[in-house]
Amino acid sequence: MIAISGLTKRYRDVLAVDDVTLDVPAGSVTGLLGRNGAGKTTTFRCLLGFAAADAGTIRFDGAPLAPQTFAHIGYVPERPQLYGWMTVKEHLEFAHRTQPAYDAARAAELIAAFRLDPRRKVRRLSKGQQTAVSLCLALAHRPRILILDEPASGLDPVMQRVVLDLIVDASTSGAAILMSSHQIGQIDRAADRIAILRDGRLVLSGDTDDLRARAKVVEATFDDDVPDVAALPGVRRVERMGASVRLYCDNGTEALAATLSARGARGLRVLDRSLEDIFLDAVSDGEPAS
Amino acid sequence: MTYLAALRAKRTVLIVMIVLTVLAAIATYFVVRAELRVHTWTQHSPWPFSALLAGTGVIAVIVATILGSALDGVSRAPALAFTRPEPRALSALRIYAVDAVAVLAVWAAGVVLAVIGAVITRTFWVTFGADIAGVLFLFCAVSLMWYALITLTAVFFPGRGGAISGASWAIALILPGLAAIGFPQPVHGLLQALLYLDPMAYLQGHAGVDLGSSPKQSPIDLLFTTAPARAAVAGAIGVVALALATRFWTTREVSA
Repeated sequence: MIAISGLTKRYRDVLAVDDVTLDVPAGSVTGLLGRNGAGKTTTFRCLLGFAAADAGTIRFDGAPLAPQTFAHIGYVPERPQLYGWMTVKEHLEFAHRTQPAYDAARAAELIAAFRLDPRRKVRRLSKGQQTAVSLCLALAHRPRILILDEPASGLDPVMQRVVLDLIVDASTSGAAILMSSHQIGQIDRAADRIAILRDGRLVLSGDTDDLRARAKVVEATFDDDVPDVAALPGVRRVERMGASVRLYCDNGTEALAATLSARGARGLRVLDRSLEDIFLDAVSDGEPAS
Repeated sequence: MTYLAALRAKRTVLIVMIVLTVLAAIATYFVVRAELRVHTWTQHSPWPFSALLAGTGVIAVIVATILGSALDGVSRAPALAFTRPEPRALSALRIYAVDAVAVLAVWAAGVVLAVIGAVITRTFWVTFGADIAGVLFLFCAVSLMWYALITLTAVFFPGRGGAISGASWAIALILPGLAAIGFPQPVHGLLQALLYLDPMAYLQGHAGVDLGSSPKQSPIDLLFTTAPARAAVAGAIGVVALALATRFWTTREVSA
C-alpha cells in the first residue's frame, strides 16, 4: 500500500503539489487524473525519490522509501527512459541482474504479449514499443507496487487493451497501483478509485462507483428558449445543445427535475455521470457555468 | 549496475582497440616496408619500459576521458538507473570500478600491441629501469583525475557528458599555453591556479610528454618535480572530485 500524507513540493514560485494526502490500497488501481501541469508527474517524482518533498510523508507498506523498496516497485515513466544503444534483451538482462525477484518466465511472457524482438536496439523501436519495453521491465519482477505514468501512451488500441488487462491482473494479485492517464476511458476501465489533482491540490478522490452514484446528470428539452438554469441549487455545470440542456449536479436531482418540469421542460431524464463528466467538473470548478 | 557499466565500457574499449590495432598494423606495415627492419638483435634501439608505459598510457588517459561521462550517461534513463534496489552511491562505485578495469585493460592491451610491433619490426628492445613504478602511478593518477573532473562537471550539466569529455581535451591542451602568456593579474594568477586541475600539466616533462607550449615555470613544475609527487597530487584531486561527484549525483533531483 502507498500512503501519501500532506505531500508538498514547490519549484521556486510554483507550488507543484500542495498538501496532497492519498492512500493507494493493496489490490486496487487508483487513477491519478488532472490537466497538464496539475502535479501528477511531480507526485510520481516525489514518490520515487527523484525529487525531495518540501513537506509530507510517503510510506510504502508502512515504511519510507529506501533503496530496498525498489525491489517491490515497478515504474513506467511518461516518456520511455531506456538506453537507445542497448538491445531489448540487454535491458532485460540488466533488470535480471538488479532485481532479486526478477522472473525470467514472466519477462518472456510479456515480451511475447507485446510482440517485441529482444534482439533489436531500443533506439530502433517505435515510441509505443519502447513503452512496451518499459512495461516489461516494470512488471517482470511482479512488483507489489506499480507506479504508472501514462502507461499506455503511444500504444495501439490492441496493445492498450493488453496493458489494461495486465494492470487489472496485477491489482487482482494484490498490487497497489497508482496510474495516470489523459485517456479517461483507460482509467474508467482499469481503476476502481480515482484521485483528481487541480493546480497541485487534490480536489476529489474516492471509489469510482461511489463518485458515479453521487453525481448525476439531468437532461431536459424545452419547446421554447432554454431558461436560465445555471443558478439553480445544486447545479455545477450546464451544457446547452439547441433546445436541450444537460445539468450536472451532485445531489437534489429530484427537486431539480421538478423545478425544470415546472418551467416547461419535457423529456426529463436523470442519468449517472461518466468518469469524464466527474473529471471535467472537478477540474473546471470555479469556472463559470455555461 | 555493474552489467550496465560493463556494457558501456565494452563498447568504448572495443572501438579504441579496433582503432589501435588498425593504427599499429599500418605503422608496422610501413616500418617493415621502409626496410627499417634490422636483422640482428644487437642492432636494436634500447627503449626504457617506462617510456613504453608512458606512450601507451596516453591511450589509457584518452579512454578515461571517454568513460568520464559514465554517470551522466547512466542518468539519461533515471527510470531505470535510479529505481534499482541498491543505494545510488553503490551504483556509482560499481561504475567507477568497471571503468577503472576498462582503462587498465586498454593500457595493458596497448603495451602488448607495442611489444608485438617491436617483435615484428625488430626496431627496439625494452629495458627495465627504476622509474617504472613512478610512471605507472603518474598515469593512473592523471587518468583518475581527468575521469573524476569530467564526471564532476557532467553531474552539473546533465546530458552534456560527451561534450564535456571532448571539450576537456581542448582545455587541457590550451591551458598550459595560456598560462605561459604574460596576462595581467589576476588573469595570469587564475590561469596558473587552473593548471592544478589540468592533467596535461602533470604529465608535462615526464615520461617523454612534451607539450612544447607549456610554461617552463608552471606551479606544478616548481612544486612537484618527481613523478610520485605529481601522482600523489593528481590522485588526491581525483579522489576528492570523484567523492564530490558521487555526493551530488546521489542527491540531485532527476526528471521522471
